Amino acid sequence: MNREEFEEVCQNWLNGDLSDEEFAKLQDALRASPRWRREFIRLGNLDSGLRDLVMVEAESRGVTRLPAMGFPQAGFLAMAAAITVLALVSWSLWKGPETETFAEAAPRTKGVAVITAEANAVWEEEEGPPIRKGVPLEPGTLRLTEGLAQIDFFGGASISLSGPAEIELVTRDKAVLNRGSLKADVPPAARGFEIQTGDVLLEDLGTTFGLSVDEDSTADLIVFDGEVVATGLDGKPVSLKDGEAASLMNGEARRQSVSEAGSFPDIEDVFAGSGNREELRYANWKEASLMLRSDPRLIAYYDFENLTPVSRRLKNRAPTGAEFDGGIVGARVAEGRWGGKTALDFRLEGDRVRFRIPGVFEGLTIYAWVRIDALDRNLNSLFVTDFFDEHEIHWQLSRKGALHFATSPEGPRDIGEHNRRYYSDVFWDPGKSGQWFHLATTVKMGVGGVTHYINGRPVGFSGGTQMHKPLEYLCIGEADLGNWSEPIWETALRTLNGRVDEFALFDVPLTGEEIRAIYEWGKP
Amino acid sequence: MQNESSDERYEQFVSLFTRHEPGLRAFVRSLVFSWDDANDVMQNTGLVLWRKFDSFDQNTDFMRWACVVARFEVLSWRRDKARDRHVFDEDLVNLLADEATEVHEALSRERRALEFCLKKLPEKQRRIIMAAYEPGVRLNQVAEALGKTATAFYKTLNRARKGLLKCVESQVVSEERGRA
Repeated sequence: MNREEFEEVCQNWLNGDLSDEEFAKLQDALRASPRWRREFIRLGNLDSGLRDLVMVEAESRGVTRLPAMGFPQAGFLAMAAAITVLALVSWSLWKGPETETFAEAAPRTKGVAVITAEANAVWEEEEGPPIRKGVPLEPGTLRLTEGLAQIDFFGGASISLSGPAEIELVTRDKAVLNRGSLKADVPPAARGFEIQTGDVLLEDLGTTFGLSVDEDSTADLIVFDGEVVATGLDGKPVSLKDGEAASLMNGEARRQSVSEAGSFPDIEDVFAGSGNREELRYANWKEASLMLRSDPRLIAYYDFENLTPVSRRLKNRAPTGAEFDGGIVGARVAEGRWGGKTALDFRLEGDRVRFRIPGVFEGLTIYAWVRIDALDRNLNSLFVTDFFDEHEIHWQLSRKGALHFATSPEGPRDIGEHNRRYYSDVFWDPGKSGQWFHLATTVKMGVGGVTHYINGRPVGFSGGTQMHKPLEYLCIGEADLGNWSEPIWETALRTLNGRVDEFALFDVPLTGEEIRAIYEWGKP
Repeated sequence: MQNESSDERYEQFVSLFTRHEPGLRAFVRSLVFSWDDANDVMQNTGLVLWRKFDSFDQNTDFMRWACVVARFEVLSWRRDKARDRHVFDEDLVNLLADEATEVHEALSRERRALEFCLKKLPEKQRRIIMAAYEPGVRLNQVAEALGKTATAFYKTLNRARKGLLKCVESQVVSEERGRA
């Protein structure tokens, strides 16, 4: 068998389409050559990786699981259920937020679209999740006061919207434009994408078109490419092809000449304008970051700036100086909150930054800008001291998506009785993967002095232990960012899966206003 | 550790299993003919791993241990299925399993590079991949739904896979250089 034949047979294997003769040939070829075995395994590995990847993507679009049809995790879930039963029978020690079973369904995003680029865009903020780039948008109305934005629907269509505009997202394949103008790009895979305006429904048959709606609800439509079917209240569909235009008025679609149609925003315009805003925000942050360096309350401050692949030292920019520099192990340099800003990417078991910060602290603020890609473990390290000795701190993320602070005056001894643990409200789910978050915890000694902040706002607690017991003082000593070097349990992996591009420790609890301000000047 | 309570053991198991499940599934995938077969084997493997977890030496590599268990699951599964079409002979299963265990770390790096490479794929090929790997679909139906002849569809799909293999390889190489 020559190489070409071998490759073809391998692909047929993946496609599930192999004759008996081919199968016999494949077996012979694999027996004969270690190199072909290696290639075969790499191909199987690719097949498996793709399945995992597309499934995650499909789930984010709300595609239902089909266990009967060979859904790859079907076996896994059945197994998880079986284990759960086993475990329940075997032990009475079933408890606590850290012993979540993985039979638990992963939270699924309700999003229908996402903003993928902005140029000087100003959104009218409403209750609910913030409207910004990368955040999944749930069904509802968006008001773009000014600027341009590109919105990608999960069904595959993409629009560039020009403010002022008001658009209602209905499903991942449908929107209502109440005011403003847009240009839609609908690839064949998203065929059937619908936009409604006033009383006219536009069904897209795989195309590019522009649509603009006035204050008085009259609309202009122009088809640049492909075909659009416009159906008015009279139920009469009007089909428009390349270069044709129509006006939509009083629930009726009427052809008009192209010159009468207005101008439409273009996706290129969105990208052309998006750089400026990012540069501006980055520059503002740099200025504020320089001011912060001299704050005498800092224990240590790391701005993660100007890192290169050979950087092995994370510089402490606080007055306490080089003594508190961190040692970079494994973690790779990656892009931070803005283009040009550097961050460290944590992913592999070895990735971490090592610190040694001796001393006793009678107050604490710990904050970081973190991009969480996934919460793979029951606890995922943000900043974790080696042995969790007396009064040492652990600052982590729980699998459920809560920020977690813990300290025990007795260290790991009788941990159940002494460990003060504070879980914030759940703020993260896989739909927020890849977004940057400002996470902060302030600690005052005594009882009730711990406050968690997510993106500058204080949040409540979703759980904890021994929270009624007082805190006397805190220690750090030897510690890791993004990992846990000396786990109390040998196999307790807590590697962070994500990025960090700013990290600070203060010896006092900052006020809510101060945390808010830090968030405001640092938000992406 | 001797004093660990049972639920700590369980927690450790869950954490290890969840972490290594994608690698283990890829391992099993290379030893059987179809995804249905792989799912059958994975289901048993998970259960056996948990039952035998007490015998796992925590100072050793979990993935290697799990690969041994999974290999035996494939072998015992193939004995039941040996009369079916397209089941690899026992000696070949062992050869492939040896190789896959040996390179499991490299394979895991390639899987991690996949997301990036998928984004870099030409749009047409990317769409085909996304459609072909959608959970629960059958390839012949996908070809039909995309309005393509089976030949054209498989051609694009195969080309896309080849492109991805090249890309992940070069990604992993450059990643290693960056770490030196």
